[in-house]
Amino acid sequence: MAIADTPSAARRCSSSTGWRPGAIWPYLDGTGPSQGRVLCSRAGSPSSSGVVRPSPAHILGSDRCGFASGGVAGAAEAQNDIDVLNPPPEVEKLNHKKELLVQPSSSMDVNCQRSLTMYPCVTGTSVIAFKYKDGVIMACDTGASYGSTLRYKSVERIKAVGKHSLIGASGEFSDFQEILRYLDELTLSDHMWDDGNSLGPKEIHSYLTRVMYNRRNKFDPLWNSLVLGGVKKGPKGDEKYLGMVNMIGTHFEENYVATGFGNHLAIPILRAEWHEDITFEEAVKLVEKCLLVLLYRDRSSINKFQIAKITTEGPTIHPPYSLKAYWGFSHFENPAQGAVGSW
Amino acid sequence: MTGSMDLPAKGGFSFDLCRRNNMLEKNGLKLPGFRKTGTTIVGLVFQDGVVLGADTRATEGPIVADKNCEKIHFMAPNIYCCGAGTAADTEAVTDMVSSQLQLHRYATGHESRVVTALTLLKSHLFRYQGHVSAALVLGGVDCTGPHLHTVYPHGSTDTLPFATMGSGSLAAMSVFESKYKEGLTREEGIQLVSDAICAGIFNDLGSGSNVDVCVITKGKTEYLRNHQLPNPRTYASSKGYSFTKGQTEVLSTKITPLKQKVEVTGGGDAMEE
Repeated sequence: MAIADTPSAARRCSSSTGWRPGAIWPYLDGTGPSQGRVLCSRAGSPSSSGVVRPSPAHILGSDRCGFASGGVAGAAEAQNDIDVLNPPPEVEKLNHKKELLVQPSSSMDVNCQRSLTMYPCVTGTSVIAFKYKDGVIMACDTGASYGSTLRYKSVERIKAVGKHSLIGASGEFSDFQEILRYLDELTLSDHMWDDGNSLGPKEIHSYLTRVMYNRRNKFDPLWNSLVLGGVKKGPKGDEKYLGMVNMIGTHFEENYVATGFGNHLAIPILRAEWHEDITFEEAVKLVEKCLLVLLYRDRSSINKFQIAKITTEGPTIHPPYSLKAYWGFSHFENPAQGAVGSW
Repeated sequence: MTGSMDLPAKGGFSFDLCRRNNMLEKNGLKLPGFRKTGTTIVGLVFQDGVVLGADTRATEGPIVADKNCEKIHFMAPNIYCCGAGTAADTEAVTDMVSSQLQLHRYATGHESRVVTALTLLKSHLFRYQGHVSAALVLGGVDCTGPHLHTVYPHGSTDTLPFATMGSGSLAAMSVFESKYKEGLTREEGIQLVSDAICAGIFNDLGSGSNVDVCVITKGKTEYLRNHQLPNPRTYASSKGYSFTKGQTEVLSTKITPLKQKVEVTGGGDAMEE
């Protein structure tokens, strides 16, 4: 079946340059979402790596693309040439279309199976982290809100990555789960080299920065602020590392970081009271101080927190617990005591 | 009959021009900006009274318009009010209520009460439906004890043991929430207020310069203007500068004498009488 037979096919052939909706481009550093998996698009909150279709070699013809249809690059090239806005019926039939109960309100055509991230749906609130004597301590609450409803109350927003790092995320929770899948692939393929070397926190931070920035450039960000902390043996001994990346790709390294509301409420406390080589007990007290302020003043925070630490021995994520809040001020008991009946 | 005379006799804000302003804005008119205070203001109740604190930076957009302005306003000898929001609004509203309190003192012969100031402020702000953009921390000590209130631009108020307002309020509130307890002494109260204002100064871009503190107790008020100056000018030399001869190495010298006399040829015109 020759490709340039029909005028529509000719149109498809000629538009081989330029960004097209739905095109899957590999990331600049060579990695990319693994092709061949069929993902569904959800109403409102898009699957972050878009829909990947199986390579329909019989449509494009083997003389069109010079790549083997099984390779990652080959599949990517093949996808680029499909006219997404007016797909041929054979391609449509092959695709897995999820029935959308709620029409997505994206700016793109409804037929287009990939919509750009417009707003986050299920969000986690602040994460705070800082370096201490033996490594890095990270803490957050275990809640995830669906808009203004506190939907999920036992969500782990801090996870270990390999032997040397911890990642904590605030923002859209599904994007965090997707990032964890990317990190799984990354650490797995690194492990398969079997060279005794493992990815340290600096490398993971760099990888995440590239992922977040490239996604932002496609106007389809992963709606998260990520905190990456870890300890790895370096040329100068055990090097502690703590960095942050946000959804537009801004990244930096610091001794203490916080995301979301933590920026306004926890960073002033950390700036005043953090010091080099703080012990674990003092670090926990400082973290609890910050978490308590967040509990009082952040509406999406819940009273169930998790503290995690990473040292040369490895990551430890402690079980969740609650903090005692104080409500006993005498002014709270009778605010109108100065003038009874005032409002 | 129904004529143009159905306006209320006094009081009430006429919202007629608001519709015209909205129409103009929609058609592309850029409304003039106004100077805001972009502030950190705080207050807390300690065992003998109330401590109020404020920073001293007034901003006009990204520019610091006044680097040492006064944000703690006098209401009565025993009542002071910190103001955040539009500088003109906070000044005018506190001045107005201060005069009303003075007249009330003349009428009653007693010390003003904090709730009086509170009620006058909130009624005025509510009448103007938030267009008077003044967010205030009102504190004082009267015959019923120490009181601390916050007043929001739309007219709602809170009665609290510790309060912060302004753009730096979150930074200051984090200090208060972690360190405040009941029954503080005067020194502890002043220290905590200064810490909170410093947190606002160093962590918020809209606040800066110095710390003003006002301590109000029964029968005595101390206004500590510029209690702390955490942002000194470090480059100014206190001894002055001297540039003595010989400090700069002279590489070469060339002297060109100017002509001493200028000859005027031809008669000039006589000046007109």
